[in-house]
Formats: sequence, C-alpha cells, structure tokens
Amino acid sequence: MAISTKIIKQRIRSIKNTHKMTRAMEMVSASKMRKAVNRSLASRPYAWRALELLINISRDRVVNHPLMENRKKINSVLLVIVGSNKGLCGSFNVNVFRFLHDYVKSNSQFEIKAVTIGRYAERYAKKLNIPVVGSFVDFHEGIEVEEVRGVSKLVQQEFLSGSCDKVQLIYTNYVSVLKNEVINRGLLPVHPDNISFMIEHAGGVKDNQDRQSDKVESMSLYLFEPSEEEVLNLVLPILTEVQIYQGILESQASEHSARMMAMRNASEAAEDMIRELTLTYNKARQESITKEISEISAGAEALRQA
Amino acid sequence: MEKINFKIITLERVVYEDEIDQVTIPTQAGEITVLARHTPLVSLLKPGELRIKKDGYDVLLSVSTGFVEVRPKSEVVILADTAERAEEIDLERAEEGRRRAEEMLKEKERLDDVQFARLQAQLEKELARLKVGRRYRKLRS
Repeated sequence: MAISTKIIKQRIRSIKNTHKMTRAMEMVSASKMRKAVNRSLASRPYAWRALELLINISRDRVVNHPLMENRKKINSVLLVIVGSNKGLCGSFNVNVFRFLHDYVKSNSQFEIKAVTIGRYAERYAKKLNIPVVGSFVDFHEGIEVEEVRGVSKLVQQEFLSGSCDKVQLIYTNYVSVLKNEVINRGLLPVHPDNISFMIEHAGGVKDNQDRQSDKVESMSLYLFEPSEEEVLNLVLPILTEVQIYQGILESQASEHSARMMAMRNASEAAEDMIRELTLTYNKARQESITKEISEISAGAEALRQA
Repeated sequence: MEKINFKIITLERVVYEDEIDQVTIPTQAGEITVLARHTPLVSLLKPGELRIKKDGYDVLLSVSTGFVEVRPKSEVVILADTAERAEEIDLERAEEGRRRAEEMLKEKERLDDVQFARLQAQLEKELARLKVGRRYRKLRS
C-alpha cells in the first residue's frame, strides 16, 4: 500500500465537501419543485374558467377570430421549446433534445422555426439548425404571468403575420418525481381541446374535479359588453399566455425534480466513495504503524545482539 | 331571497367564493349591479371597487382588469388579473406604489408606449386599492 495516508485524507475531505453541496442542492431542488407544482395547480381554476368562457360563448354561434383560424395548408411550424437555464439536472434537457431531434426528422416537409425558453433550449435549437425567432432566458422560479406576455405576443405576431401556420408548445410535463414526459401540443390556432388537455395534465394530477364544462345547459344568448370582438381580443391572448405559463411551470417542476434525483444519486455515490476511502485509509494507517513497530523492534533486536 | 353563486379567481388563487345576494362590478362600460337570474353576459373588468352584499353585510374587494362572466342560473365568475379583499390591503404599500407609478409617469418622454400603458394600468390598480382600503378602514372605525 504505497498511497500515503495524507493524500487519502485529502481526498476524503474533498469528497465530503462535494457531498455536502449535492445534499444541499437536493434539498433546495425539492422545495423549488414543490413550489412550482403548487403554482401550476393554483392557476388551474383560472384556466378552466377562461376555457369555459370560450366554450360558452362559442356554443350558440360560430366564433371567428384570427387567432382561431385553422389554415388548410400548413407550410411552416413554430415551436416554442422550454428547456432549462442551468445544467446539472440529469436527463431533463437531454429528453427535450431527443424529442426535438425526432420531431425535426419526421417533419421535414415543414419549415420549422423556434422560440426558445432557457439557455439549453436555445443551444439545442441552434445545434439542430433550427432558426431561432426569439430566445428568452430570464425566467426564474418566481415567474409571474406578466413575464410570459412577451413570449405570447411574439408567438401571436408570428402566427397572425402568416409567417407560421401552426404553433406547437414543447415542454416537459411533471407526472411525478420519478416520471417526467416531454409533451408536444398545439398552442395556435386556439382550439378548446388543446387547452383542456393542458389543464387536465397540470401538476401531474389527472382528476376532473374542477371540471364543470359538462354542465351544458343554456341556449340563451350571451350579451357582450362592449362587443364580442373585443372580448375575444382579450380572452384568446390570455388563454395562450396561461398555457405558456403553465408549460414553463411544469418544466420547472420537472427540471427541479430531475435535478433532485441527479443530486441524490451524486450524494449516494459520494457516500460510497467516502466509505471505501475510509477503509483504504485505515488499512494504510495500520500498515504504516505495523511497519514502524517492526522497524523499531528490529532495531532493538539489533542493539541487543550487539 | 335567491342567491348568486359567485367566484372571483386570479391565476394565483381563488380569492372569494360564496353564495351572495348581489354584486356591484366595475366594468369598461360602467358599473353594473348583478342580482340573481341576471341575463348571461360577458364584459370586461375595470380597475376599481367590487361590492358584494350578502345576508345584510358588505364585502369589499379591489380588482384590476379581467373578465366578468354572468352565467345562466345565477352564476357569476370573475377572472381578474389581481384581486384583493379589503382587509388584506396594506394602505402604506398601496400609497407607496401609487407614488412610484406617478413619479415614473412624469418622465413621460423617456417611456415607450408599452411602458406608459403598463404604468398607467399600475397606477389605476393602486388607486383602486387605496380607495377600497380607505373605505374599509372608515367602515370599521
């Protein structure tokens, strides 16, 4: 055992430090994850009512609005990709990337463009040679819905100006701590099915307790103040916004849960290493003591014989 | 008396949900009072004071922009950007917010249209909070 005890001791100390950090990051991620999930769930009643409003007013008449226009021929697709800003989160970004890769491969007939959220999303889009129309990297944990307005404005402009015919949102849905899935769903044109899908999947809970839209009752016409157009002009952008907002929250919850798992694995690996190194250290220490004793006793023996 | 099933919701939470007698709502087209069996209506909310009457007492709320939906069968749903119960309003903070928004508005030349509109909305919201908060204090004392 040639390794000196000093070097082993140093290594143990450094691994212990790393262990402390990964532990701390694990716990921080756990609490952030909980917050993101709660916020995503809290926005659900609002999203439901807004959707019901849309369903209610479109029941008795054909509602027309540029944001609801289903274009027959689709030439160009805009992807809103949600990734993370920071690394060290296990497979979170890799999954998004893989999904994106497959999507681009199987949809080569369309012209694909991207709006990215998070540094990693931007990097991947560039790697795949997707033109990035806009990149947003300053969304943090306490994200407010107003901050998403910029994203939704840009997306709506792209859609309305005709530079894309369809907008898809790609984000990571939080199912449970161990399970996240990358989801690709329609954002524009606005369609009630898209939105109800989003809300049902929010927060990884698939109950329908909040759902009341089945209560189809009235045939009486809704009055609009000031006008139908103005109401739709406000409702549709907000629905788009809320969807992006929820997508970001879901992704954040997934990111933090992925990071938490990655950090937990790292902590466990560090514990194993510390255990092994301590064993090696003890062995080396014992060895050197044995060696010293045998040297001393050999010396004493030599002195006695002399 | 027939009750209205009333809900006011923001993205963060359900602010108030109850069976009430009547509600007065500030809308873009003017203030409206909704009683039970009101005809279905969709309108736009304006920053201001929302008054609820229930069993002879009043509940005050301050609201900003959003939607009002009066559904058939005496159901009222309000989707607000922000909403607060009068007792939750911190008058000092509202005053501070109003002052800040006003000051920034004074530097009009340096603001672009979007910023200006946002500040204007902010100011309106703070004014509504102040109004509701003050009135609540007065009623209590």
